[in-house]
Amino acid sequence: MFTLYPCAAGCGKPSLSGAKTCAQHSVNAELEAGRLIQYIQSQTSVKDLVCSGLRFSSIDFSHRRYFGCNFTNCTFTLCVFTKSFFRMNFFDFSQFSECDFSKTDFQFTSFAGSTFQDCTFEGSELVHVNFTGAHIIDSTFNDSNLYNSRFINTKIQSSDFIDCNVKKTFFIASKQEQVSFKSSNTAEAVFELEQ
Amino acid sequence: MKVYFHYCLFGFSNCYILGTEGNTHQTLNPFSLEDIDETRRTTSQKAHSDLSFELKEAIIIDPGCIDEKIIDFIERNEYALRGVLITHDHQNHIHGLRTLKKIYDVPIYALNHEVAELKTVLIKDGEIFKVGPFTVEVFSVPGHSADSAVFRVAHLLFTGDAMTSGLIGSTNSSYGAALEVSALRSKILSLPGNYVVLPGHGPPSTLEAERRFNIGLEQKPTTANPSLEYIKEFL
Repeated sequence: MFTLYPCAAGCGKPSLSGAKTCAQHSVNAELEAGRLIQYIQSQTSVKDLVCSGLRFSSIDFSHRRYFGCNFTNCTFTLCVFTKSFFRMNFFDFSQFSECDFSKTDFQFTSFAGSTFQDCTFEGSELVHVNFTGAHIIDSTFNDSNLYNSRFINTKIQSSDFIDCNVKKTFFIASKQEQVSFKSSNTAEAVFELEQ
Repeated sequence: MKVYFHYCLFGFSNCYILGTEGNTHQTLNPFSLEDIDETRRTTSQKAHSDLSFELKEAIIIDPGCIDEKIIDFIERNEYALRGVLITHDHQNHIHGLRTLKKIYDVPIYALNHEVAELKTVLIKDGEIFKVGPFTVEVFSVPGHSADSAVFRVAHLLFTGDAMTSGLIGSTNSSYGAALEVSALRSKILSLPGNYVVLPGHGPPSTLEAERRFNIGLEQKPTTANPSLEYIKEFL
């Protein structure tokens, strides 16, 4: 699990791995992002890395294993995560646009408060994944396993959950517009709290 | 510090093992990428790590089940188990306690003096105590059960059933619910900064996400009771 070392500037945000400040107080955030990307791409297994607040554009994160990393408040544009393996990672309050998560294996990971625009999670394992407070637009989760995941207080627009396992998946207080659950086991999902 | 998550099919609860990384790893700066990359470590560092004794200690939070996998995990990593933390005395969070006690003679820390007919080390709200190398702060959050506790270890919050991602613990009465929300607001949500929330059920979360999106903690608009208006006319 990553360690939270506060930024040397005193803002309270976590400092980046290998640096004393957070992304916001870094002299050159792009350089920091480049350094951490280079590190990730040189590894097959990434552990306890803090990349909070960085921007990633057209980066290949695929075919790697990630354990206990902190990617909160990051921006990912046109990034590829296919066939990656994630355990206990945090992507809270991040923004994802046109990212490819197909055939990924996520377990015990949090995407709370994140925004997904035009993303695909097709054929993925999304077990014990937290999407609470997320905003999902024009995205697909088709053929995925969403066992024990939570979409509480989530806004889902024009997205598909076709042929998914939604056993013990919570959609409580989620706002859905043009969402398809065709061929999914919705009887085993939780849409309302028991009184 | 390493956190291991185990999903207990009995009661669908989360069990956590919190472990140290050993003496030699702790002396290394975790922020230095050179230190993360084992291949870049100098030969002198490697020699030093081979010679020195690596004491690895661990604690377990909510042993909802103790199976061969968990025991094998503790033994394979050569962890010296230092204690068990119980967030509350519900069967799906303590089911493995008897098995664990048969194998390891470790103290049990709980807000109850007895859990599963086993004597515990009684802890109190606001108490800060050490279990092996870990400093644990206790917050009593009654509501889901009278002995519900939240444990803080560094930047991790083990919330049990009192608060899970997006929800608060179920209660038997509106009084219990009000008590729970009040305790969560005053003791947990008021903690400065951000924390990783590791609940007793469901996926992980962060304290900031719970502050913003937990539906159990949302301010509900008070619905005006029409009969109250009628009564007011006579007062």
